[in-house]
Amino acid sequence: MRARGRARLWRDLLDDRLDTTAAISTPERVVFRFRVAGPGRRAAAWGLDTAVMGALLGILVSVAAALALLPGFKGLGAMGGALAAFAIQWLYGAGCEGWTGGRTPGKFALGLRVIRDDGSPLTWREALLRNLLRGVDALPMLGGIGVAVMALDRHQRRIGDLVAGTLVVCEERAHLQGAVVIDPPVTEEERRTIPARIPMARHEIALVEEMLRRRRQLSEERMEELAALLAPRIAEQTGLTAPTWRRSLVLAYARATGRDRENEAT
Amino acid sequence: MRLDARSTRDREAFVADRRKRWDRLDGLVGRGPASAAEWAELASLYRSLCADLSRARGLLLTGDVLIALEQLAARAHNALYGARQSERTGLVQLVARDFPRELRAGWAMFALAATLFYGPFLLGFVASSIDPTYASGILPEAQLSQMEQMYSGEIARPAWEDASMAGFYVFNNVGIAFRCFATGALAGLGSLWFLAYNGLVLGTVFGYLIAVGKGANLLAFTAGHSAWELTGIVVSGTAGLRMGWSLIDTGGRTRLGSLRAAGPSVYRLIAGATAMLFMAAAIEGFWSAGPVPVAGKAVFGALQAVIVAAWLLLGGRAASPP
Repeated sequence: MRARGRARLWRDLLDDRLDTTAAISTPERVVFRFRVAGPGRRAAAWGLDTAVMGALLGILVSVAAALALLPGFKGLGAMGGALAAFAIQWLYGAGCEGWTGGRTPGKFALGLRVIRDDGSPLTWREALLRNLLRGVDALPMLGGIGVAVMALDRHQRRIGDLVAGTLVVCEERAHLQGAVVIDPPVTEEERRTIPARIPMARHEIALVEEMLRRRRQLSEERMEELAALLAPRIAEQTGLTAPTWRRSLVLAYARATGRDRENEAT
Repeated sequence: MRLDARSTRDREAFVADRRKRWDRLDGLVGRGPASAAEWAELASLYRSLCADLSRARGLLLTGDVLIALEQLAARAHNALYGARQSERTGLVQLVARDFPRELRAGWAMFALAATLFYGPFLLGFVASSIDPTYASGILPEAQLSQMEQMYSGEIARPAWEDASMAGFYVFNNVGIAFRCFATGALAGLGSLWFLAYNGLVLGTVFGYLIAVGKGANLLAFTAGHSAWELTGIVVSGTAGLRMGWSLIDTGGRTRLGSLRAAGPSVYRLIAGATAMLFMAAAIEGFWSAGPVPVAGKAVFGALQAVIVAAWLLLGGRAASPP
């Protein structure tokens, strides 16, 4: 029953039924999923970018004003100031995204990236188009139309994204987690003290495996806390004893799966 | 090898067997293949990864394996298929060749945008040159008298102001063009408004200034850049209307799909409009207020109009598309 439940979960994920993921399939019949960025995170990135734009404008206009004070550079300084204002208003987003393959400083800080809707990297055309269309997404104020369109769209795209054919996704780099290692191995002495039969349900075994895979990311204390959720029950049922909850859970797992004899075999 | 999905050891064996290949692929994608042999290796590693991925799904491997494999597959896929160097056209080609072609291919939309701009322009022009009080119904008196003041003599300014005004024209006019274009996404309504409003205001001001006897000064100042500037605004409106129309006439696509499909042509149009308005800003800044007599400025303006027309009509014709 449980295995079937899990199968259903994966099928649902692949079916793209969750609206926060976008699935892209290739000619090799491989499906990738991207996690689509929602309005909250994008608004935070936008806020950061606005601050960066304000700072840039301040710096460039000061430089232009200083230039204008030099004899003979009055006109050039004033032109520089106006062009800087133009460039920051209209080209900041496009420039950043064009050069970096889809990230402005704000998006970088929030872990977002703009990609093409077929999953491939952004080109200059898309970067320019989606940023020019801020002119409509920002109307009537504070991104009103953009947010409304995002709410209607399955992949939370604003008008600029729709026309340019882009998606804003959360960038996540998942790493392969290590194998389940019983460390330190079950000692001969421990093996004698473990009760002969320890009943553990399949999902409990899966939980312990997940914990052991993550042992490098978890602190000792957190492991102990997590183990304390399950180990006392097993200890009570079977009379298993160990110095820590964590160790007793590991021992229970080793016995239940027959892995307490692993190091002998190898 | 027959794997049992329920056995942790089998699942881990699956990962352990293939991990070296995945890591190799990860490294290749990360630094980019250096030689043809490495590209071939990347391609073959990618295909075997695709097989591993479907196998992993069948085995119901734990989330971290699937997610890590999917992300690796996505990156490898982009490394293999994402190279679009040949598709990228230079900026010069885009503006000189692709833009005029695009404009001619969708000439009806350009004609519509021109009508939406020059219709109200003529209306305002004729009405206010027959009866100057009409202008005060459209624009505030203060603004009109300011205009009259401005054109009371030939516009002349100290040389240093030329550059600063050129910068201002870019900021102001290109900004207006971008808004005129972007608001076209609202089923064309925004572009329609920008075109008609700007046409009416400009026409009214021109008519008014001629009616009060400042025509020669107006001609002297505007002759040089108006071909570039007015056509640029109309083209930006064309791009907006094109985008809006794609929502109405979808050609069998979904509304959003149709909007998306209009993207590339709209991009070429707005690139052309931007180039025209930069040209207009340069002329308006550095030439229009210059000391050349009116007749010379009129000839220069006519020449600019010929250049614009030739570019739009002939640009990209010589080299026929493959």
